[in-house]
Amino acid sequence: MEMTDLEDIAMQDAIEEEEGTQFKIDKENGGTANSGIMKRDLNINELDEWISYLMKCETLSENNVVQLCDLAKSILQKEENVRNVNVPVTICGDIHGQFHDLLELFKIGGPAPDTNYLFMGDYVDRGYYSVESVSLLIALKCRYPDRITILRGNHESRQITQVYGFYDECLRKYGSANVWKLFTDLFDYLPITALVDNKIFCLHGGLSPMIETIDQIRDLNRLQEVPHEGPMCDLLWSDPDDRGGWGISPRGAGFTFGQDISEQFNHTNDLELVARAHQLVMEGYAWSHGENVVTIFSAPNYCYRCGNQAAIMEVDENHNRQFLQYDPSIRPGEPSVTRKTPDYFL
Amino acid sequence: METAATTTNGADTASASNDIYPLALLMDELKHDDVSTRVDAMKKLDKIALALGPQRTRDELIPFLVEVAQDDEDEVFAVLAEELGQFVPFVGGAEFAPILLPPLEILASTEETLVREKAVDSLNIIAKDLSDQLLLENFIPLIERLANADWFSSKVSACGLFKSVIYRVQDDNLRKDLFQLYYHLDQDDTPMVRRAVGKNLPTLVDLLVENADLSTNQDWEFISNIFQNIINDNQDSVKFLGVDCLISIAKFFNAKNDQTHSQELLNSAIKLINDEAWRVRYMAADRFEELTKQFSNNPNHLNELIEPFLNLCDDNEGDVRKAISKQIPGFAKLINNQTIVLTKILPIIQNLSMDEMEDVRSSLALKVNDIAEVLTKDQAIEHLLPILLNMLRDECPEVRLNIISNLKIINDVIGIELLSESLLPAITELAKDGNWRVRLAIIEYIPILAKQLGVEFFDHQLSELCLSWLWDTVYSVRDAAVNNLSKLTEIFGSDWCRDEIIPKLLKMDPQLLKNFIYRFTLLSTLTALCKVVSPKVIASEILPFIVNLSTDSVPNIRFNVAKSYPIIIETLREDEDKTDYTPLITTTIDPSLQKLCEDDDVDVKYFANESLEKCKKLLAV
Amino acid sequence: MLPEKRLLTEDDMKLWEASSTKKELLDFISTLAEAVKGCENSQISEPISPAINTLEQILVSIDKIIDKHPVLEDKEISRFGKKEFRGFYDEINEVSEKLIHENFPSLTHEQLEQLTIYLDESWGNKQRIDYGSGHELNFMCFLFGLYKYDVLKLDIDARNMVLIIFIKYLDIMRSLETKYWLEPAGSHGVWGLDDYHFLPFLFGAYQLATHKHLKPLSIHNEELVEMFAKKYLYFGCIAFINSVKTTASLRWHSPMLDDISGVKRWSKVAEGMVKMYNAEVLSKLPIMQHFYFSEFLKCPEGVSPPGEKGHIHDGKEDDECLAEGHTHSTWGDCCGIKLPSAIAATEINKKKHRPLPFD
Repeated sequence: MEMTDLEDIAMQDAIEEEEGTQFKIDKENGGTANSGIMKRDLNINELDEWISYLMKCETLSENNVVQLCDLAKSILQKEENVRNVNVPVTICGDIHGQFHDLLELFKIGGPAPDTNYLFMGDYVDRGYYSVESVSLLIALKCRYPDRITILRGNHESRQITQVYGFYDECLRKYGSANVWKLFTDLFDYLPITALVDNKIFCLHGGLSPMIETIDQIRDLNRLQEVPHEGPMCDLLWSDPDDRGGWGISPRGAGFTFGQDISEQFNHTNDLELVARAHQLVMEGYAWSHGENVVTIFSAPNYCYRCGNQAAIMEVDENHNRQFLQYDPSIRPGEPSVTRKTPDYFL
Repeated sequence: METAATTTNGADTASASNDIYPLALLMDELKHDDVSTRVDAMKKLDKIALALGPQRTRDELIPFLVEVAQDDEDEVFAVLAEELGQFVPFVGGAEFAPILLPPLEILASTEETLVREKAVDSLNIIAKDLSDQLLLENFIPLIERLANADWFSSKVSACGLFKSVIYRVQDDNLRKDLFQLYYHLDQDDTPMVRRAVGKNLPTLVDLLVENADLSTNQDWEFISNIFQNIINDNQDSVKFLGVDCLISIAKFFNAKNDQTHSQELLNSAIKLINDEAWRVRYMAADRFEELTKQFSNNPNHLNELIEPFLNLCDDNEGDVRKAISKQIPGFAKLINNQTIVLTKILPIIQNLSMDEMEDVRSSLALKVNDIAEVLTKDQAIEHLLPILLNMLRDECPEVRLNIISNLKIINDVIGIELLSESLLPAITELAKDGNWRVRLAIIEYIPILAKQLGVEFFDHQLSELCLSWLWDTVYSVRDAAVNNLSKLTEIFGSDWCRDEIIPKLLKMDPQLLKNFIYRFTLLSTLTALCKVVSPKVIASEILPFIVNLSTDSVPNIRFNVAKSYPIIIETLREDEDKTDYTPLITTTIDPSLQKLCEDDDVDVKYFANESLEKCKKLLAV
Repeated sequence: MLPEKRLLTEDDMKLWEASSTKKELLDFISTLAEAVKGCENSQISEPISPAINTLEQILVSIDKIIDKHPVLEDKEISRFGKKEFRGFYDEINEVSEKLIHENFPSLTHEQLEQLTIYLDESWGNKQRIDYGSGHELNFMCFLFGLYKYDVLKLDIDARNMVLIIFIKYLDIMRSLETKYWLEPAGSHGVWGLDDYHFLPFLFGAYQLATHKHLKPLSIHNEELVEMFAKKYLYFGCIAFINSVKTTASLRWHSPMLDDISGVKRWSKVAEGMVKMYNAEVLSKLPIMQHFYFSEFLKCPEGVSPPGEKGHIHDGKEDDECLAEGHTHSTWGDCCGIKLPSAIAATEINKKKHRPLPFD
């Protein structure tokens, strides 16, 4: 795996470092002209502190979120639209703000960075802890960029999050829309697909009629809000279907695609498998298209109603795959958030 | 009359500016938008009162608090209610205490249970300081007002206040009025109020015990009537409170050595035990031991309870059977009758151990072992053992786990060898359960069992199992398995680990080790064991293996190797034999670590450098 | 002309929001709400008008249709909505016009045509087997139509329209929700008021607006909820939610309701509910794009012209609801219900006013 500029500078730092000083990540590289005030170096210890804080389901201060998003941006913008990932890796689906179930996921699959993870998007909306969930994953990404991959889901979008809860949650937990804006701006930088050892193609939604080869994805400009149509939209919105060929998606974005499409795509691109999320499945994971496609969903008992299991897919260094299914974690006592009267009722 | 203010006149004028300041500040904070600020301000109420002095506290602070009590959040109310309970000294002593009653009366009327309860507690605290006169003039009217309000929350609070006045009142007639009022509350339409009456009755009965000379027959009559109302209430949620009331009443008579009512009480008890409402029977079952104790000085009475007891064990409602299951050994001990135990109780245990509801079997499993205390060894082997062996094969993991959790007493009476044959299959089944939390639970029991069973049994039967847990699919189980091996090593010793465990670890199936997860687990295990085995073992067996892993193709392994080096060095340095391992460290660990510091992977480099620092510090000592 | 859906773009929405139609509709709902201020469910206004009685009978007939479409025992427990709901839906569509006509003979054929579709679409979506606040709104539009056609009169019937008719509708809906496992349409998860309904909370808050003792916080008190579930709509809703979402407490599974419970007075909740309904239901495109305009709910001028098909909403596979260019806000979609591809695969070349896709 090629070294990024970030790693380059970091290594030089390490070599020049005297004993006892901390290993620093310099945020300056690749930052925009705007990072004037953000010039102060972000200490690894600080990231570790934020992570331990977040693991207890506590939110970061708005200032910290500013720093975190800035750092994340500088890391993510160096990543390609198709991020190369090495085995071994554990691949995960939708989280949707179910923070306690995310912790359960780590109990099953092992903590980062000892386990490598690849998340396929939809970290926010619908659940009650989207802020904590996405903050934790971004913090982990910043701390261990080589161990964690986070892709973009269709919910990592300004429009969607204004309807399905993330915006409301930010308003509630921070008193203003600033944090929402910081995160949604950051979401533009998330890579949209990943390629595990050139064999497993990972993305949130599904295939696009405009994309035959993976190379075509590399040429896209992803640094934008999820478009209403076009290849980038399709990759985040499409669904596999029983019927052959391409079909209009009832969701109003993306397409449905049949087994023939999947087979062709895998053949053309020399892939073993397309792994994606985006759809609730009762057992946490489900094969389609004669094992050309697998759907993985990591939010158990979705919305306290569905009664589904969640699953993650472990891929070891020999490309053996194992699915681990799990149930929701037991919610501890009462939630610790104080009530906040919605504006309509003031 | 000198007020507190005039006596502290000097201090008053000197700190006049201070006096205004805290109150104004507090009022600002109490109006703050943020609830938590208001709550914090409330918590400092005592300091403010202290600064103001009693006069100003009475004249300004308390009226302000009365306002607050009418309009704020429950979290603020809860703190206020609690604070006011300590305010008697702050308002200038007991004679001024009545001024605290109005805000508390308001708080005692709110709907939020927590606030009400704190207000009631505080009122009861203050009542203790009030003189009889003030109690009469202020407290009792307060109770009356609350008791006559039109919403249930005030009335519920009123029920909690009677205990402060009922035996302070010397005048029998006045007390009669109070009892009358309490009785009246017992007639209320709202079940919530009647429940409050029932819940507070035991306390009043207990007070009767303490004030035996003061209490009259009339008092007893009221209590008796209220009690009768409760156990005949049409709402289960009220009726079942009768059980606790009965226990208190029985205690009352036992304390007086008065057996005249015990048959009557026994009859009431049996009535409750056989009640048609399952919740009442459930409560009776849940309190059975306590209930029985009240009649334990009369063998005839105890005998009368056997039939009802058996009925509960055979109840239609699973929850009732579940509750009574836990009471069986306790009851058996009280009965103290071998024949009954053998002919009646053991068969019932047998039935419950095969109950159709797993919650019942699980509940039984928690306590059933205790029955061994009333059996001889032979009896236990003949009658109890088969039941336990059966439960160890139960399809519900919790049942098996509960039996295993409580084996000590079996060990004492029977000896573990007889059980051990069944134990192993039971443990093995649990170890394979589909639910990872069950697998986790059984692992936690292993060290306990190991101590009881001894090393030979363990080696023959359990060591394979303990090693196999290292290869569980779920991380948390593997992690627990690692800890388990450490704990076992602490129990059985370093040599045992060197001879029994480590060789098996180092000869792991290479096929298995192709998956990095298992190499990782192996590394974790060896690192963990480093802390509990002797340095010799580390040097000769463990270290070479770990160094080998430092060139693993997976970075995650490599950086964990780096992390384990300081741990190894630490243990090597603490060698009791004072062997100097420095040469070994220099030739094996150093080069390895240096190489890792130059690794391609960022995280490997980071952890390697971190470890290098730690190692340098350790070696410098 | 039959009722048709018209709202497609944000510009359309602006026109709708400023329209007199919307104001009329909201006023109608507010009037009904005011009519039940301080009333328990049983405190209907007497005498009950014949129209109300008749309308209730219509609902009773509809209720009976459920029994004719029982759910067959499934071998596998599926989360998906039960297909037998489609049988129920179809039968309603078949008999609705006749049912209304027989019971309200004064209505002309044209008026029936305008009304029927609202009743048909009050029970959920046939294809997706889901239900949401849009369907609930359809039922209100049905009542609105009856009022506009002078079958129901606000001065005598307003209170009973809620306490008799709406309550009966709610009962039927709960029955459908539980029997056929209807998916919540467009659910916002924990950020919505409720997976299915809005108006019982709105009307319910008005019922409690003048209560001397009950406070919004009372919804957390189990005993109070039990005591008042059958007396007040709001408490009935709480009892129902708690009975479905049993794996965690109210504060976990319904934080919005929890937040609202912090409001001091029910009257404030009531006011807020109307504002919220206006903003979250009547002003949201994903819901309103399914709204039917008719003779008594006139579409404002300047809104996008109707599409080519004539907009017959028959729930079949070529239902325009599945057509291209049509926004969806169904939660069912997000959760993996496979829907048949209605239209042969062609690429979308036309750059129409493309509505926002919603998940």
